[in-house]
Amino acid sequence: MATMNGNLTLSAQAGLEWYNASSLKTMLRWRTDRWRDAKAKAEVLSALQTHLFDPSSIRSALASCDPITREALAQLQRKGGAMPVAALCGQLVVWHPDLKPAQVRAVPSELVRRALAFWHTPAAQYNRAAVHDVQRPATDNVHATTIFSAPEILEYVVVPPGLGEVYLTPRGRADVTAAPAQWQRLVLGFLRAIEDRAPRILQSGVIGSRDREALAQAVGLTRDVPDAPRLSPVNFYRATLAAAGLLEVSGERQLRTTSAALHFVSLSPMRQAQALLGAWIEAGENELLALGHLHCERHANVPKVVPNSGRLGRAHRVLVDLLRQKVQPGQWYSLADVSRSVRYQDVEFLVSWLDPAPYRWSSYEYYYDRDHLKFPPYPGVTLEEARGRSRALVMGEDWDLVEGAFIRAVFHGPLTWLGLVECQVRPGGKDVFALTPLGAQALELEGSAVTPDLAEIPSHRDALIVQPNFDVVVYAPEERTELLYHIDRFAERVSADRLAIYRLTNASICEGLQLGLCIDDVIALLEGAARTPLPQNVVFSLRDWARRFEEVHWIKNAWLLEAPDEATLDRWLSDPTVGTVVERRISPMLALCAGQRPATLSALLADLGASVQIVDANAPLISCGRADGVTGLSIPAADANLYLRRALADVAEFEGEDQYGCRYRITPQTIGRAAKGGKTANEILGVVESVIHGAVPSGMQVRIKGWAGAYGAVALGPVGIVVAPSPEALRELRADPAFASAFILSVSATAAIVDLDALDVLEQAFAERGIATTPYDFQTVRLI
Amino acid sequence: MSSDQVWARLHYNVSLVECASRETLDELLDVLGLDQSVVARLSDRVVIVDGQQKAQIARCLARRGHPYRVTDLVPRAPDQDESAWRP
Repeated sequence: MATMNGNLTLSAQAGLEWYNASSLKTMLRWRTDRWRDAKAKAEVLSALQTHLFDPSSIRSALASCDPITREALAQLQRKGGAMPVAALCGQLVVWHPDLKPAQVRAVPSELVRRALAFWHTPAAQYNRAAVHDVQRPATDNVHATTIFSAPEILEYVVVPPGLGEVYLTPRGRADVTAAPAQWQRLVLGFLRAIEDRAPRILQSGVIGSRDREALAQAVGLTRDVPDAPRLSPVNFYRATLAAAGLLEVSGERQLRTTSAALHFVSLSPMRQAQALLGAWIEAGENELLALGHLHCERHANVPKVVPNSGRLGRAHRVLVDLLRQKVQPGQWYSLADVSRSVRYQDVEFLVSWLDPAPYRWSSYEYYYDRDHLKFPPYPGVTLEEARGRSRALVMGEDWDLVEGAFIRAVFHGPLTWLGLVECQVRPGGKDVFALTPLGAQALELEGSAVTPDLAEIPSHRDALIVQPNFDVVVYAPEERTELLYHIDRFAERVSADRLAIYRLTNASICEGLQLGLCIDDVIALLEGAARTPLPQNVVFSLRDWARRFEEVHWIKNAWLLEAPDEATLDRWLSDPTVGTVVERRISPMLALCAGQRPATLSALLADLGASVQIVDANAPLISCGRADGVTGLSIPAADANLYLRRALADVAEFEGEDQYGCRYRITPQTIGRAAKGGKTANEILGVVESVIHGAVPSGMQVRIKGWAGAYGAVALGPVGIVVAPSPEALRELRADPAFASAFILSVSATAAIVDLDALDVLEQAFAERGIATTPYDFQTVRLI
Repeated sequence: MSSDQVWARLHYNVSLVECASRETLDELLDVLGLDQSVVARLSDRVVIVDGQQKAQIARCLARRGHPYRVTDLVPRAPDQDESAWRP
């Protein structure tokens, strides 16, 4: 079986059923002399399956292959047993540019003919035969076809030494003198700038862009990459240092260094470069997306060959391996030669040549235009500007515009920023590069340098003097990058020349402590590097500043474990797993937990007999209680968290608590107190609404708003009412001038309220007009 | 929740102010106005404060006239397994 892309397993024997009878007969003919014995398709199939992995049969089939077909099978073996047919043909064209298209196209068919390799077409057929032929696969897009073989066959294939290898020719002597310490200063300067400025996460937006530019200026990272305007050294260092575990994003979405940065700083430049190189290979930015002349599709649901992170990491590794194996220090090499070498090694270095589209009309040219060899386009990768040609890019033909430009961007960008190479663009646009001394060390090239000890910490004895006026004078600062980095964290830089002068201040010491230093470490560092004992007034002040600093500690975004009682928390903390995640107990029923914790903590607590409730302090109020009458609130015991209690304590009076929950009472006094504290009626109602299920009862709402003074004065007084027998009658009565002044307001089509003092006058006027009156009874008289 | 179970609460994104001494915390609460932002006092030296009132808390702490330690852990939402545990 051959495995393709790690998730598709192909069986050669089972796959034979998908060939037509004549093809099977052809295969059998190449594999055994007794091919005439089998007549029916089933017999042919059975015989072929028998001989498929027979060593002598495989050897004779291999012996019948021409050298180019054997090379193709060797390439198939190098690629793990499966590769796109287009890539196989493309690789042969690179190796043998003089071959005619028909000869190249025949190679995969020759392998299938001898049952040494097989077609695989994952896509559904539209209008083609459903079974393969030795000449061609059954598919609507030949570029979507894979050719694969079985390990049982490939084990007899001998890969010629040097297959796909090409020598990288030096282009002249290089005198690259960039010192590793210079690169180290840049990286440590970047880390210090992050600590100093705490920039935003630097990915997008106006604030990110502003912080990125400021950081670039502060560190001196202004060098752009030719043809890759979207490749930024600031983003590169941020992403690589973060991938190496040296940077993280704080709760305020700001970048900061981690504790691992301190260990990193103490490493030699070579080890630092190796650490960052490893991080870049695994998690580096996609340089293809940064090329100015290309448009790369980013939508997830579009078929495309834009490399994913795994494939990109492999491409990065290929380039680093090429540096390690083919490049010598002290020589210039052409980037065009590197591109050629990579292409010679594997045309699928960056992108897969397997067309993800199941149907493509242009693939028919593969069969009908036998004078030309057609290769698939780069799906999802096009030119930004056509300039007289098609925007579509074709694999192989446009290698220099895609893979070549990618390699150029990697050398001018990440590999330069990692301090491994130095690049030059010479007159005439010729790109050359040379390994730096740091590059030779980091790649551990033979004879480049003695490997330093991993735990190497350079000695800084007698490097500085601390003066009684709090000045720190560092001698020979250019040789002490690491020491300067450490001092810079807790002292203000005054000047840096032949001597570096720093000043210890309350603010600078506290900034250092904020970065995770402790005052004993600061004093120990100064004592260890000082030529003379530290002045007593300096030591006293440092300790005093630190003591005052540590008096108040504001912890943001912490998480706590709360138990219903002290004994229960004791029991949980005695559990080994729960105990390890707890940093310390901050009250009898609450424990402060460490930043990292097992994802299964909830399950662990459940195993210990607990029902786990989650409280997000940013949105702690949840609908859990109910209204009791028009002034009472009941909250279940499990939901009565600290935040909810605090919120209710502002607007209600705590009445009591039992095993079922706690009760609160809204009173005029509690509402008045909340209103006096600045809460509006709507805010108070909002608190109540957010903690009870359903709507606030109207009686409670009126009381809350009334007690909070949200209502103005209500006019209350007696009035009379006139209810006419019909709307028409009321209209006519109101039109009579004698009645008009008595009416106040119509309250329905037949009723109006009238002045109470006018009732007697109205009664007489109705009698005078012959209109009978009856006493109003609201229970019997219906208003329309 | 069955009768033999007890509740456990996991509080996320909590803001705490922890002082070295009771006197310092009392000063912050009574004199410098931190009491306006307090959710609960957990002990002599520790209070939970309302994380939404960052500016107000920072002003209160700054009124002491000395720098103070700030530890900003990464905010997080409940994990999937914890969401699954929600009743």
